[in-house]
Amino acid sequence: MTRTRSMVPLFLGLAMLFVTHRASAATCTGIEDLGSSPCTGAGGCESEHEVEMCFFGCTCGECDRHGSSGECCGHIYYVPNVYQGQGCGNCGECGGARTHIRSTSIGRGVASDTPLELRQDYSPGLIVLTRTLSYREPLFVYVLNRCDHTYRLIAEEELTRKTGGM
Amino acid sequence: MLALKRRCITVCWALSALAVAQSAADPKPSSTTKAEQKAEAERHKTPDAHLVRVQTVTAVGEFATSFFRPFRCDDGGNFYVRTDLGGVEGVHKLNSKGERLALFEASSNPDLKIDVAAYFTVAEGGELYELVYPHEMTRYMFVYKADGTFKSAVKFQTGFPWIPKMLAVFPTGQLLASGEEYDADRAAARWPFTGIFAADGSLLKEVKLEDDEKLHDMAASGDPRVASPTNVHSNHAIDNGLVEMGSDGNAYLMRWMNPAIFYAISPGGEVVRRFTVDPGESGYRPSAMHVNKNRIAILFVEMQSRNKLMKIVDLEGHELATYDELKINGKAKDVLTAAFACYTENPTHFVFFGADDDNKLQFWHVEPR
Repeated sequence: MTRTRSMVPLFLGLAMLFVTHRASAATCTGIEDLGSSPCTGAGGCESEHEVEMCFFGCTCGECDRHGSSGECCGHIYYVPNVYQGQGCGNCGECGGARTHIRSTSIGRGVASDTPLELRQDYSPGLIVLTRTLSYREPLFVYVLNRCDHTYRLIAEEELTRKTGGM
Repeated sequence: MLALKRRCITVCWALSALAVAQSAADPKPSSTTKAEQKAEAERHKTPDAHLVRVQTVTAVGEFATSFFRPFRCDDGGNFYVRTDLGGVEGVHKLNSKGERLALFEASSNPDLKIDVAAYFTVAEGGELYELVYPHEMTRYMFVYKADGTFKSAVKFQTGFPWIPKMLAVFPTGQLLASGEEYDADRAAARWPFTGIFAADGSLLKEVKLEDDEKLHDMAASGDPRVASPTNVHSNHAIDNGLVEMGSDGNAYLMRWMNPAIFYAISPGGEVVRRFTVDPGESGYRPSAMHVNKNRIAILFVEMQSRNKLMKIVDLEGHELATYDELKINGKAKDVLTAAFACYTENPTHFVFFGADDDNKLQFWHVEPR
Protein backbone atom coordinates (compact mmCIF):
# COMPACT_ATOMS: atom_id res chain seq x y z
CA MET A 1 0.00 0.00 0.00
CA THR A 2 1.41 3.32 -1.00
CA ARG A 3 1.81 5.87 1.73
CA THR A 4 3.29 9.18 2.48
CA ARG A 5 6.29 9.39 4.72
CA SER A 6 5.89 12.79 6.17
CA MET A 7 3.99 16.00 6.11
CA VAL A 8 5.25 18.58 3.68
CA PRO A 9 4.57 22.29 3.54
CA LEU A 10 1.34 22.99 1.77
CA PHE A 11 2.76 25.12 -1.00
CA LEU A 12 5.40 22.56 -1.82
CA GLY A 13 2.82 19.82 -1.84
CA LEU A 14 0.56 21.71 -4.18
CA ALA A 15 3.43 22.42 -6.53
CA MET A 16 4.43 18.78 -6.55
CA LEU A 17 0.87 17.68 -7.15
CA PHE A 18 0.58 20.03 -10.11
CA VAL A 19 3.77 18.76 -11.65
CA THR A 20 2.80 15.14 -11.08
CA HIS A 21 -0.65 15.74 -12.43
CA ARG A 22 0.56 17.32 -15.63
CA ALA A 23 3.28 14.76 -16.16
CA SER A 24 1.22 11.62 -15.83
CA ALA A 25 -0.52 10.01 -18.81
CA ALA A 26 -4.14 8.99 -19.10
CA THR A 27 -4.83 5.36 -18.41
CA CYS A 28 -7.73 3.14 -17.42
CA THR A 29 -8.07 4.05 -13.82
CA GLY A 30 -10.38 4.26 -10.85
CA ILE A 31 -10.52 4.69 -7.11
CA GLU A 32 -11.17 1.91 -4.67
CA ASP A 33 -12.23 2.03 -1.06
CA LEU A 34 -10.17 -0.28 1.11
CA GLY A 35 -12.05 0.29 4.33
CA SER A 36 -11.08 2.43 7.25
CA SER A 37 -7.77 2.76 9.02
CA PRO A 38 -7.30 3.53 12.71
CA CYS A 39 -4.82 6.26 13.51
CA THR A 40 -3.13 7.45 16.68
CA GLY A 41 -1.53 10.67 17.79
CA ALA A 42 -0.04 12.56 20.63
CA GLY A 43 -1.94 12.92 23.87
CA GLY A 44 -3.83 9.67 23.45
CA CYS A 45 -5.63 10.74 20.30
CA GLU A 46 -7.35 7.84 18.54
CA SER A 47 -9.51 8.02 15.44
CA GLU A 48 -10.10 6.49 11.99
CA HIS A 49 -10.09 7.57 8.38
CA GLU A 50 -11.13 5.97 5.11
CA VAL A 51 -8.47 4.46 2.86
CA GLU A 52 -8.89 5.01 -0.86
CA MET A 53 -6.35 4.12 -3.53
CA CYS A 54 -5.77 4.56 -7.26
CA PHE A 55 -6.59 1.33 -9.07
CA PHE A 56 -6.77 0.07 -12.59
CA GLY A 57 -10.37 0.83 -13.49
CA CYS A 58 -12.97 1.74 -16.05
CA THR A 59 -12.36 5.48 -16.37
CA CYS A 60 -9.93 6.88 -18.89
CA GLY A 61 -8.04 9.50 -16.99
CA GLU A 62 -5.32 10.31 -14.53
CA CYS A 63 -5.47 9.27 -10.92
CA ASP A 64 -3.71 11.63 -8.58
CA ARG A 65 -3.06 9.69 -5.41
CA HIS A 66 -2.52 12.91 -3.49
CA GLY A 67 -5.62 14.57 -4.88
CA SER A 68 -7.09 15.59 -1.56
CA SER A 69 -5.96 15.40 2.00
CA GLY A 70 -7.40 15.06 5.44
CA GLU A 71 -6.15 14.92 8.97
CA CYS A 72 -6.36 12.10 11.48
CA CYS A 73 -5.01 12.76 14.98
CA GLY A 74 -2.81 15.49 13.59
CA HIS A 75 -1.40 13.39 10.77
CA ILE A 76 -2.12 14.19 7.15
CA TYR A 77 -3.41 11.43 4.93
CA TYR A 78 -4.20 11.58 1.24
CA VAL A 79 -7.02 10.33 -0.93
CA PRO A 80 -6.95 10.21 -4.72
CA ASN A 81 -8.78 12.23 -7.31
CA VAL A 82 -9.42 11.08 -10.87
CA TYR A 83 -9.21 13.55 -13.73
CA GLN A 84 -10.87 12.59 -16.98
CA GLY A 85 -8.51 12.02 -19.88
CA GLN A 86 -8.28 10.69 -23.40
CA GLY A 87 -6.31 8.25 -25.46
CA CYS A 88 -6.54 5.02 -23.51
CA GLY A 89 -9.13 3.17 -25.57
CA ASN A 90 -12.47 2.30 -24.08
CA CYS A 91 -11.13 0.80 -20.86
CA GLY A 92 -13.55 -1.87 -21.92
CA GLU A 93 -12.57 -4.73 -19.71
CA CYS A 94 -15.15 -3.49 -17.26
CA GLY A 95 -17.73 -4.24 -19.94
CA GLY A 96 -17.34 -7.95 -19.31
CA ALA A 97 -19.40 -7.72 -16.18
CA ARG A 98 -22.14 -10.25 -15.58
CA THR A 99 -25.77 -9.28 -15.66
CA HIS A 100 -27.17 -10.08 -12.27
CA ILE A 101 -30.28 -12.06 -11.77
CA ARG A 102 -31.85 -11.41 -8.43
CA SER A 103 -32.43 -14.51 -6.38
CA THR A 104 -35.44 -12.90 -4.77
CA SER A 105 -38.30 -11.06 -6.35
CA ILE A 106 -38.17 -8.12 -3.96
CA GLY A 107 -37.69 -4.63 -5.25
CA ARG A 108 -34.51 -2.60 -5.08
CA GLY A 109 -35.65 -0.52 -2.13
CA VAL A 110 -34.05 -0.97 1.24
CA ALA A 111 -37.47 -1.10 2.83
CA SER A 112 -38.17 -4.43 1.13
CA ASP A 113 -36.13 -6.36 3.60
CA THR A 114 -38.48 -9.19 4.41
CA PRO A 115 -36.70 -12.49 3.81
CA LEU A 116 -38.41 -14.69 1.30
CA GLU A 117 -38.61 -17.44 3.90
CA LEU A 118 -41.03 -15.37 5.93
CA ARG A 119 -43.55 -14.96 3.15
CA GLN A 120 -45.57 -18.02 3.82
CA ASP A 121 -47.98 -19.20 1.18
CA TYR A 122 -47.27 -16.30 -1.15
CA SER A 123 -44.47 -16.65 -3.63
CA PRO A 124 -44.83 -14.47 -6.70
CA GLY A 125 -43.39 -16.04 -9.81
CA LEU A 126 -42.99 -19.45 -8.26
CA ILE A 127 -44.78 -22.69 -8.95
CA VAL A 128 -45.93 -24.10 -5.63
CA LEU A 129 -45.01 -27.74 -5.18
CA THR A 130 -45.93 -28.06 -1.51
CA ARG A 131 -46.80 -25.53 1.16
CA THR A 132 -43.15 -24.91 1.86
CA LEU A 133 -41.46 -25.79 -1.40
CA SER A 134 -41.76 -23.93 -4.67
CA TYR A 135 -40.24 -24.30 -8.09
CA ARG A 136 -39.14 -21.53 -10.36
CA GLU A 137 -38.43 -22.09 -13.99
CA PRO A 138 -34.78 -21.47 -14.74
CA LEU A 139 -34.11 -18.08 -16.20
CA PHE A 140 -31.66 -17.92 -19.08
CA VAL A 141 -30.05 -14.67 -20.09
CA TYR A 142 -27.60 -13.96 -22.87
CA VAL A 143 -25.01 -11.38 -21.95
CA LEU A 144 -22.92 -9.54 -24.50
CA ASN A 145 -19.19 -9.71 -23.94
CA ARG A 146 -18.04 -6.38 -25.29
CA CYS A 147 -14.44 -7.48 -25.61
CA ASP A 148 -14.82 -10.37 -28.03
CA HIS A 149 -18.35 -9.49 -29.22
CA THR A 150 -19.79 -12.82 -28.24
CA TYR A 151 -22.75 -13.72 -26.14
CA ARG A 152 -22.51 -15.79 -23.02
CA LEU A 153 -25.38 -17.81 -21.62
CA ILE A 154 -26.08 -17.35 -17.96
CA ALA A 155 -28.57 -19.61 -16.27
CA GLU A 156 -30.06 -19.29 -12.86
CA GLU A 157 -28.94 -22.10 -10.61
CA GLU A 158 -31.52 -22.72 -7.92
CA LEU A 159 -34.70 -24.25 -9.14
CA THR A 160 -36.50 -25.13 -5.95
CA ARG A 161 -36.95 -22.89 -3.00
CA LYS A 162 -38.28 -23.27 0.49
CA THR A 163 -40.85 -20.55 0.87
CA GLY A 164 -42.04 -20.75 4.45
CA GLY A 165 -43.45 -22.93 7.14
CA MET A 166 -41.49 -25.26 9.35
CA MET B 1 -9.37 18.76 -16.84
CA LEU B 2 -12.58 17.80 -15.22
CA ALA B 3 -12.23 16.88 -11.62
CA LEU B 4 -14.40 13.81 -11.25
CA LYS B 5 -13.94 13.52 -7.56
CA ARG B 6 -13.66 16.44 -5.23
CA ARG B 7 -14.17 15.98 -1.63
CA CYS B 8 -13.98 17.59 1.71
CA ILE B 9 -12.75 14.66 3.62
CA THR B 10 -13.07 15.78 7.15
CA VAL B 11 -16.67 16.86 6.75
CA CYS B 12 -17.63 13.77 4.79
CA TRP B 13 -16.04 11.47 7.31
CA ALA B 14 -17.88 13.24 10.10
CA LEU B 15 -21.15 12.98 8.18
CA SER B 16 -20.52 9.33 7.59
CA ALA B 17 -19.83 8.76 11.24
CA LEU B 18 -23.04 10.57 12.13
CA ALA B 19 -24.99 8.56 9.62
CA VAL B 20 -23.89 5.17 10.82
CA ALA B 21 -25.20 5.98 14.28
CA GLN B 22 -28.57 4.75 13.12
CA SER B 23 -30.66 1.77 13.88
CA ALA B 24 -29.54 -1.79 13.38
CA ALA B 25 -29.99 -3.43 10.00
CA ASP B 26 -30.95 -6.81 11.29
CA PRO B 27 -34.18 -6.65 13.26
CA LYS B 28 -34.89 -9.02 16.08
CA PRO B 29 -37.10 -11.98 15.26
CA SER B 30 -40.73 -11.08 15.72
CA SER B 31 -41.22 -14.03 18.06
CA THR B 32 -39.10 -12.32 20.74
CA THR B 33 -41.24 -10.59 23.35
CA LYS B 34 -40.60 -7.03 24.45
CA ALA B 35 -39.62 -8.26 27.89
CA GLU B 36 -37.09 -10.61 26.36
CA GLN B 37 -35.76 -7.85 24.16
CA LYS B 38 -35.39 -5.55 27.15
CA ALA B 39 -33.60 -8.23 29.13
CA GLU B 40 -31.35 -8.89 26.15
CA ALA B 41 -30.58 -5.18 25.80
CA GLU B 42 -29.77 -4.92 29.50
CA ARG B 43 -27.49 -7.91 29.23
CA HIS B 44 -25.65 -6.26 26.34
CA LYS B 45 -25.09 -3.17 28.46
CA THR B 46 -23.61 -5.01 31.41
CA PRO B 47 -19.95 -5.81 30.84
CA ASP B 48 -18.34 -8.75 32.57
CA ALA B 49 -15.09 -6.87 33.12
CA HIS B 50 -13.04 -3.90 31.94
CA LEU B 51 -10.23 -3.88 29.42
CA VAL B 52 -7.03 -2.84 31.17
CA ARG B 53 -3.64 -2.34 29.59
CA VAL B 54 -1.20 -4.56 31.46
CA GLN B 55 1.94 -4.12 29.37
CA THR B 56 3.33 -1.84 26.67
CA VAL B 57 6.08 -2.92 24.30
CA THR B 58 7.70 -0.30 22.08
CA ALA B 59 9.13 -1.57 18.81
CA VAL B 60 12.60 -0.41 17.86
CA GLY B 61 12.81 1.19 14.45
CA GLU B 62 9.11 0.74 13.60
CA PHE B 63 6.85 3.76 13.28
CA ALA B 64 3.15 4.20 12.75
CA THR B 65 0.44 6.80 12.67
CA SER B 66 -2.15 4.73 10.82
CA PHE B 67 -2.78 1.01 10.77
CA PHE B 68 -4.18 -0.77 7.76
CA ARG B 69 -6.48 -3.73 8.17
CA PRO B 70 -6.21 -6.60 8.67
CA PHE B 71 -4.23 -6.97 11.89
CA ARG B 72 -2.62 -10.34 12.38
CA CYS B 73 -0.57 -12.41 14.79
CA ASP B 74 0.50 -16.03 14.75
CA ASP B 75 0.88 -18.86 17.23
CA GLY B 76 4.55 -18.00 17.65
CA GLY B 77 3.75 -14.63 19.18
CA ASN B 78 4.67 -12.67 16.05
CA PHE B 79 2.72 -9.71 14.75
CA TYR B 80 2.05 -8.66 11.16
CA VAL B 81 1.45 -4.99 10.51
CA ARG B 82 1.20 -2.70 7.53
CA THR B 83 1.67 0.88 8.62
CA ASP B 84 2.10 4.22 6.93
CA LEU B 85 5.50 5.24 8.20
CA GLY B 86 9.00 3.95 8.58
CA GLY B 87 10.08 4.17 4.99
CA VAL B 88 9.70 0.47 4.28
CA GLU B 89 6.51 -0.53 2.51
CA GLY B 90 4.97 -3.95 2.86
CA VAL B 91 3.79 -6.17 5.65
CA HIS B 92 6.20 -6.17 8.56
CA LYS B 93 6.55 -9.36 10.59
CA LEU B 94 7.66 -8.46 14.08
CA ASN B 95 8.44 -10.60 17.09
CA SER B 96 6.96 -9.91 20.50
CA LYS B 97 9.72 -7.38 21.21
CA GLY B 98 8.98 -5.47 18.04
CA GLU B 99 12.06 -6.66 16.19
CA ARG B 100 11.52 -7.13 12.48
CA LEU B 101 11.80 -10.72 11.37
CA ALA B 102 10.62 -10.45 7.79
CA LEU B 103 9.22 -8.07 5.22
CA PHE B 104 6.60 -9.09 2.67
CA GLU B 105 6.76 -6.78 -0.35
CA ALA B 106 4.56 -7.06 -3.40
CA SER B 107 7.24 -5.25 -5.36
CA SER B 108 9.52 -8.25 -4.88
CA ASN B 109 7.82 -9.74 -7.93
CA PRO B 110 9.23 -7.65 -10.79
CA ASP B 111 6.88 -9.13 -13.40
CA LEU B 112 3.91 -6.98 -12.49
CA LYS B 113 3.42 -3.26 -12.00
CA ILE B 114 1.55 -3.10 -8.71
CA ASP B 115 -1.07 -0.48 -7.95
CA VAL B 116 -1.91 -1.66 -4.46
CA ALA B 117 -1.34 -4.60 -2.14
CA ALA B 118 -3.88 -4.91 0.62
CA TYR B 119 -5.58 -7.67 2.59
CA PHE B 120 -3.44 -10.53 3.74
CA THR B 121 -3.64 -13.63 5.85
CA VAL B 122 -1.07 -15.90 7.46
CA ALA B 123 -1.53 -19.65 7.09
CA GLU B 124 -0.23 -22.41 9.31
CA GLY B 125 3.46 -22.72 8.68
CA GLY B 126 3.88 -18.99 8.34
CA GLU B 127 3.23 -18.52 4.64
CA LEU B 128 1.62 -15.18 3.93
CA TYR B 129 -1.09 -14.72 1.30
CA GLU B 130 -1.75 -11.21 0.06
CA LEU B 131 -4.32 -9.68 -2.30
CA VAL B 132 -2.45 -7.74 -4.97
CA TYR B 133 -3.84 -5.39 -7.60
CA PRO B 134 -1.53 -4.84 -10.58
CA HIS B 135 -2.30 -2.16 -13.16
CA GLU B 136 -4.66 -4.44 -15.03
CA MET B 137 -8.14 -5.79 -14.44
CA THR B 138 -6.90 -9.22 -13.38
CA ARG B 139 -6.64 -9.68 -9.62
CA TYR B 140 -3.88 -11.66 -7.99
CA MET B 141 -2.86 -13.29 -4.79
CA PHE B 142 0.82 -13.34 -3.92
CA VAL B 143 2.19 -16.10 -1.74
CA TYR B 144 5.31 -15.53 0.37
CA LYS B 145 7.41 -17.90 2.42
CA ALA B 146 7.60 -17.25 6.15
CA ASP B 147 10.89 -15.40 5.74
CA GLY B 148 9.30 -12.90 3.34
CA THR B 149 10.63 -14.47 0.16
CA PHE B 150 8.24 -14.20 -2.76
CA LYS B 151 6.95 -17.65 -3.67
CA SER B 152 4.24 -17.40 -6.32
CA ALA B 153 1.59 -15.26 -7.97
CA VAL B 154 -1.88 -16.71 -8.31
CA LYS B 155 -4.33 -15.21 -10.79
CA PHE B 156 -7.99 -15.21 -9.75
CA GLN B 157 -9.90 -16.71 -12.65
CA THR B 158 -13.45 -15.51 -12.28
CA GLY B 159 -14.16 -14.65 -15.90
CA PHE B 160 -15.69 -11.31 -14.93
CA PRO B 161 -14.28 -8.14 -13.38
CA TRP B 162 -14.29 -7.92 -9.63
CA ILE B 163 -12.29 -6.62 -6.71
CA PRO B 164 -11.44 -9.06 -3.93
CA LYS B 165 -11.43 -7.38 -0.54
CA MET B 166 -10.71 -10.22 1.86
CA LEU B 167 -9.08 -13.61 1.82
CA ALA B 168 -8.84 -16.80 3.86
CA VAL B 169 -6.90 -19.98 3.20
CA PHE B 170 -8.39 -23.30 4.25
CA PRO B 171 -6.05 -25.96 5.66
CA THR B 172 -7.16 -28.06 2.69
CA GLY B 173 -5.60 -25.55 0.32
CA GLN B 174 -8.69 -23.91 -1.10
CA LEU B 175 -9.11 -20.16 -0.88
CA LEU B 176 -12.08 -18.10 0.11
CA ALA B 177 -12.12 -14.62 -1.35
CA SER B 178 -14.87 -12.08 -0.96
CA GLY B 179 -15.26 -8.70 -2.56
CA GLU B 180 -17.28 -6.79 -5.07
CA GLU B 181 -18.20 -7.62 -8.63
CA TYR B 182 -18.69 -4.93 -11.26
CA ASP B 183 -22.17 -4.27 -12.50
CA ALA B 184 -22.65 -4.14 -16.26
CA ASP B 185 -23.50 -0.50 -15.64
CA ARG B 186 -20.18 0.98 -14.61
CA ALA B 187 -21.84 3.73 -12.63
CA ALA B 188 -23.99 1.36 -10.62
CA ALA B 189 -23.28 -0.06 -7.20
CA ARG B 190 -21.26 -3.23 -7.31
CA TRP B 191 -22.43 -6.65 -6.23
CA PRO B 192 -21.01 -8.57 -3.31
CA PHE B 193 -19.23 -11.66 -4.53
CA THR B 194 -17.76 -14.53 -2.56
CA GLY B 195 -16.08 -17.53 -4.08
CA ILE B 196 -14.17 -20.66 -3.27
CA PHE B 197 -11.04 -20.92 -5.37
CA ALA B 198 -8.56 -23.68 -5.97
CA ALA B 199 -4.94 -23.02 -5.05
CA ASP B 200 -4.27 -22.17 -8.70
CA GLY B 201 -6.91 -19.43 -8.63
CA SER B 202 -9.61 -21.21 -10.60
CA LEU B 203 -13.12 -20.55 -9.34
CA LEU B 204 -14.62 -23.67 -7.82
CA LYS B 205 -17.87 -22.34 -6.46
CA GLU B 206 -19.69 -19.08 -6.00
CA VAL B 207 -21.00 -18.69 -2.46
CA LYS B 208 -24.35 -16.99 -2.07
CA LEU B 209 -24.63 -15.16 1.23
CA GLU B 210 -28.05 -14.42 2.58
CA ASP B 211 -27.68 -10.69 3.13
CA ASP B 212 -25.71 -9.76 0.04
CA GLU B 213 -28.57 -8.53 -2.10
CA LYS B 214 -29.82 -6.44 0.77
CA LEU B 215 -26.34 -5.00 1.33
CA HIS B 216 -26.09 -4.23 -2.38
CA ASP B 217 -29.46 -2.49 -2.34
CA MET B 218 -28.49 -0.46 0.70
CA ALA B 219 -25.39 0.80 -1.06
CA ALA B 220 -27.27 1.38 -4.30
CA SER B 221 -29.83 3.52 -2.54
CA GLY B 222 -27.15 5.51 -0.73
CA ASP B 223 -28.03 4.18 2.70
CA PRO B 224 -25.49 5.91 4.96
CA ARG B 225 -25.01 2.77 7.02
CA VAL B 226 -23.00 1.25 4.18
CA ALA B 227 -22.62 3.86 1.43
CA SER B 228 -19.80 6.35 1.17
CA PRO B 229 -20.68 10.00 0.68
CA THR B 230 -17.69 10.35 -1.65
CA ASN B 231 -17.44 7.06 -3.55
CA VAL B 232 -20.52 5.61 -5.23
CA HIS B 233 -18.86 2.21 -5.53
CA SER B 234 -18.11 1.82 -1.87
CA ASN B 235 -19.98 -0.55 0.33
CA HIS B 236 -18.64 -0.29 3.84
CA ALA B 237 -20.31 -3.55 4.85
CA ILE B 238 -17.98 -5.31 2.41
CA ASP B 239 -14.95 -2.99 2.47
CA ASN B 240 -14.60 -3.13 6.24
CA GLY B 241 -15.42 -6.82 6.46
CA LEU B 242 -13.01 -9.45 7.68
CA VAL B 243 -12.55 -13.19 7.47
CA GLU B 244 -10.54 -15.65 9.57
CA MET B 245 -10.26 -19.39 9.86
CA GLY B 246 -11.90 -21.25 12.74
CA SER B 247 -10.61 -24.34 14.49
CA ASP B 248 -13.48 -26.31 12.96
CA GLY B 249 -12.05 -25.86 9.47
CA ASN B 250 -14.61 -23.29 8.42
CA ALA B 251 -13.91 -19.70 7.45
CA TYR B 252 -15.73 -17.05 9.50
CA LEU B 253 -16.62 -14.10 7.33
CA MET B 254 -17.90 -10.92 8.97
CA ARG B 255 -19.90 -8.14 7.36
CA TRP B 256 -19.42 -4.67 8.86
CA MET B 257 -22.91 -4.15 10.18
CA ASN B 258 -24.70 -3.60 13.43
CA PRO B 259 -25.31 -6.29 14.54
CA ALA B 260 -22.23 -7.80 12.99
CA ILE B 261 -23.19 -10.54 10.53
CA PHE B 262 -21.13 -13.72 10.48
CA TYR B 263 -21.15 -16.63 8.05
CA ALA B 264 -19.36 -19.90 8.69
CA ILE B 265 -18.31 -21.20 5.28
CA SER B 266 -16.90 -24.66 4.63
CA PRO B 267 -14.02 -25.39 2.22
CA GLY B 268 -16.62 -26.72 -0.19
CA GLY B 269 -18.46 -23.42 -0.19
CA GLU B 270 -21.40 -24.40 1.97
CA VAL B 271 -22.73 -21.75 4.33
CA VAL B 272 -22.72 -23.85 7.46
CA ARG B 273 -24.39 -21.21 9.59
CA ARG B 274 -25.18 -17.53 9.85
CA PHE B 275 -25.36 -15.61 13.09
CA THR B 276 -25.19 -12.07 14.32
CA VAL B 277 -23.39 -10.45 17.22
CA ASP B 278 -25.17 -7.48 18.72
CA PRO B 279 -23.22 -4.76 20.53
CA GLY B 280 -26.47 -3.61 22.10
CA GLU B 281 -26.32 -0.02 20.93
CA SER B 282 -26.85 1.31 17.45
CA GLY B 283 -23.78 3.54 17.18
CA TYR B 284 -21.26 0.72 17.39
CA ARG B 285 -19.61 -0.97 14.42
CA PRO B 286 -17.37 -4.07 14.37
CA SER B 287 -13.91 -2.64 13.96
CA ALA B 288 -11.86 -5.83 14.11
CA MET B 289 -12.32 -9.48 14.93
CA HIS B 290 -10.14 -12.49 15.58
CA VAL B 291 -10.85 -16.17 15.84
CA ASN B 292 -8.93 -18.18 18.40
CA LYS B 293 -9.68 -21.90 18.50
CA ASN B 294 -13.44 -22.04 19.10
CA ARG B 295 -13.89 -18.43 20.15
CA ILE B 296 -14.38 -15.18 18.27
CA ALA B 297 -13.50 -11.79 19.74
CA ILE B 298 -15.17 -8.80 18.11
CA LEU B 299 -14.12 -5.25 18.91
CA PHE B 300 -16.99 -2.81 18.47
CA VAL B 301 -16.22 0.90 18.31
CA GLU B 302 -18.79 3.65 18.80
CA MET B 303 -18.25 5.97 15.88
CA GLN B 304 -18.83 9.23 17.73
CA SER B 305 -17.43 8.72 21.20
CA ARG B 306 -14.81 6.15 20.17
CA ASN B 307 -15.97 4.00 23.09
CA LYS B 308 -15.04 0.37 22.69
CA LEU B 309 -16.73 -2.88 23.51
CA MET B 310 -15.25 -6.35 23.17
CA LYS B 311 -17.61 -9.28 22.67
CA ILE B 312 -16.54 -12.90 22.94
CA VAL B 313 -18.74 -15.50 21.26
CA ASP B 314 -18.37 -19.14 20.36
CA LEU B 315 -18.36 -20.39 16.80
CA GLU B 316 -22.14 -20.55 16.81
CA GLY B 317 -22.52 -16.97 17.91
CA HIS B 318 -23.45 -17.57 21.54
CA GLU B 319 -22.23 -14.73 23.69
CA LEU B 320 -19.74 -15.69 26.34
CA ALA B 321 -18.37 -12.38 27.62
CA THR B 322 -18.51 -8.63 27.16
CA TYR B 323 -15.73 -6.25 28.12
CA ASP B 324 -15.64 -2.48 28.01
CA GLU B 325 -13.07 0.19 28.77
CA LEU B 326 -12.42 1.12 32.37
CA LYS B 327 -13.52 4.70 32.81
CA ILE B 328 -12.65 7.20 35.48
CA ASN B 329 -14.78 10.34 35.63
CA GLY B 330 -16.25 9.41 32.29
CA LYS B 331 -12.93 9.07 30.50
CA ALA B 332 -11.29 5.83 29.47
CA LYS B 333 -8.38 5.01 31.76
CA ASP B 334 -6.50 3.23 29.00
CA VAL B 335 -7.37 4.64 25.61
CA LEU B 336 -7.32 1.73 23.18
CA THR B 337 -7.05 1.98 19.43
CA ALA B 338 -9.30 0.24 16.94
CA ALA B 339 -6.22 -1.67 15.76
CA PHE B 340 -7.09 -4.87 17.60
CA ALA B 341 -4.24 -7.14 16.56
CA CYS B 342 -4.36 -10.38 18.49
CA TYR B 343 -6.60 -12.52 20.68
CA THR B 344 -5.69 -15.54 22.77
CA GLU B 345 -7.46 -17.49 25.50
CA ASN B 346 -6.43 -19.23 28.73
CA PRO B 347 -6.00 -16.59 29.93
CA THR B 348 -8.00 -14.10 27.89
CA HIS B 349 -5.49 -11.73 26.38
CA PHE B 350 -5.66 -9.06 23.69
CA VAL B 351 -3.00 -7.06 21.88
CA PHE B 352 -3.65 -3.72 20.23
CA PHE B 353 -1.37 -1.76 17.93
CA GLY B 354 -0.65 1.75 19.13
CA ALA B 355 2.09 4.36 19.07
CA ASP B 356 3.81 6.66 21.49
CA ASP B 357 3.99 10.44 21.11
CA ASP B 358 7.04 10.00 18.84
CA ASN B 359 5.05 7.69 16.53
CA LYS B 360 7.01 4.62 17.58
CA LEU B 361 4.95 1.49 17.08
CA GLN B 362 3.76 -0.11 20.29
CA PHE B 363 2.07 -3.35 21.29
CA TRP B 364 -0.52 -2.73 23.97
CA HIS B 365 -1.23 -5.91 25.93
CA VAL B 366 -4.71 -5.81 27.39
CA GLU B 367 -6.61 -8.12 29.72
CA PRO B 368 -10.06 -8.10 31.27
CA ARG B 369 -9.98 -7.13 34.94
